[in-house]
Amino acid sequence: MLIKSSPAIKESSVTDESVYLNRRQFMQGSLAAASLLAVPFSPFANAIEGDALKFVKTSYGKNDVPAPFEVITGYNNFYEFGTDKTDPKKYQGQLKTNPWNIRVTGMAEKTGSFHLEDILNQNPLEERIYRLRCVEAWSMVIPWVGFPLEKLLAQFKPQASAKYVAFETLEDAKQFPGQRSAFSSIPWPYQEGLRMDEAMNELSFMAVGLYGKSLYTQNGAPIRLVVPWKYGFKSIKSIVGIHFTDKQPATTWNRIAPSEYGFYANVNPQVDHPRWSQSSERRLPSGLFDVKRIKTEMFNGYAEQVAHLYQGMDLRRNY
Amino acid sequence: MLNLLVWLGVLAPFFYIIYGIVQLTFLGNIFYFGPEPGQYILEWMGQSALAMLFATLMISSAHRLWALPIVRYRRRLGVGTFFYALGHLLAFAVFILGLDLTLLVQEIIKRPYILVGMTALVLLALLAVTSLHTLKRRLAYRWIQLHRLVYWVAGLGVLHYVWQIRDGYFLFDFYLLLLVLLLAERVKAKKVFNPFAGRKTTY
Ligand code: HEM
Repeated sequence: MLIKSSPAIKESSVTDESVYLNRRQFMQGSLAAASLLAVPFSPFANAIEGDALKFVKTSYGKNDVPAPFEVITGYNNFYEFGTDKTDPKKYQGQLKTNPWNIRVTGMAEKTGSFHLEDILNQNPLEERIYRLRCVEAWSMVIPWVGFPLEKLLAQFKPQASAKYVAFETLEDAKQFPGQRSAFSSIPWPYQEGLRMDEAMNELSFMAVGLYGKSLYTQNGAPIRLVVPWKYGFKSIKSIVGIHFTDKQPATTWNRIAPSEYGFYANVNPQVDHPRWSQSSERRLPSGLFDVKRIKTEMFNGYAEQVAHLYQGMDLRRNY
Repeated sequence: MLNLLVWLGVLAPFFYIIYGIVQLTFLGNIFYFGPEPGQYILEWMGQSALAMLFATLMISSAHRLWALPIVRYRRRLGVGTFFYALGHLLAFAVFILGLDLTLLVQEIIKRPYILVGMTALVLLALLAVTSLHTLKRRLAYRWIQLHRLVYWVAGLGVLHYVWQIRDGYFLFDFYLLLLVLLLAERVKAKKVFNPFAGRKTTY
């Protein structure tokens, strides 16, 4: 294993020194951002999708081969744009991702509405190559660019009583054709959530780019979650809301079909989806006659980093 | 002329698949059907089968309602339905399961929606085989009784379809409405005397 697993982050560690430092940087950054308001300049304010990003490489996924760019940006489940996997690319132009604000609410000390640039200015970017396993039994390797979720959440100083963090995608039928559809049964806006210790895990990541460029809208621009040991639908796209809470938040697919999609949705080859097997997956892109069917690994192969989060839990019941 | 058009209609979905396979295997257009060509072909074949099935039923109704001279194309569309449904199963077995037959049996037993599809396919096979002219003549009245099963196939096909939908119900709503209309027509259809049965019946 190339990736060192770090010890579980305890609740008390929310106020450890590095985070404290981070907080100071955050405030300094806010000041800096405010002073920049006079001059309308920010590395991201003018960013359009596909702009080259500055980032450092990491060893995450060093041995995995990423899917081609056109596959990652042309084959997406993003039902806000439509249910066909080619819809997101087709209709992505209807969503305006700049300017972008994130509303932070709930059990945290720093709540309110934040400009995306102000958030991004705090966080140096890094590249992580992660495997994405869709609940539909296909998978892709994607070279994300972003920063640890832990760092983002720490900026808002979550209270110790916050046990969960919930996320929300933009709801705007004017910009999302899928939300206008009369034939959809999805209760918008799309919502997802993590237990706080899951969110603070080293693997949890906020992506703002892939293949070294800022995110294309069809991949969840301008900012999205990536939790690689869970089925893809947990990795919520185009986030506008973050909410800290002490109750397990409602999540969209779980509301639609509770027997098929659980809150945890950890990749687990032993627990089948009621309508199909999860024991193996098709690694994309796949040829016509050489279907790359590979065995699905527990926690999508990230057990070393995350298995401890679920010790003593019955993963058959908490699917 | 109409004859040619019907032939084209029945074969076009198949030609399209052949064209795509040529594109992605020989002409270097590897993503012609996207990064999951097998899944694309599976869905295409399933949709073609369902569309053709409903076209077949519409011919029957149109025939009874307006005596349109198109009932002679019904057999072609019916056999086309079976052809695409079989292609759909083959695509599943070859492209998705990599011809792992134990996995296929497992999937058929374990997944109710696939069991429903399999049932529909078995019935379709029965109908396709008995559509041979010699068998049709030999079966006589029983042929009519047997081929009424096509309405069950339609019901099973729609059930199979809706069962695997995750979201997006436009086509399902469309087919469901169409099925209700076609069934209503079938039930209300005028009965005519059938010499084989010795009583009135609906063709
Ligand atoms: C042995 C028989 C059959 C098997 C094993 C089978 C299997 C499948 C599978 C695996 C899917 C894809 C589900 C997914 O991607 O989640 C599917 C979808 C579908 N099947 Fe079947 N099926 C069978 C028979 C039929 C028949 C007889 C019909 C039509 C009359 C049919 C029509 C469809 C349609 C319309 C879809 C949806 C395709 C789409 O996603 O657009 N299937 N079937």
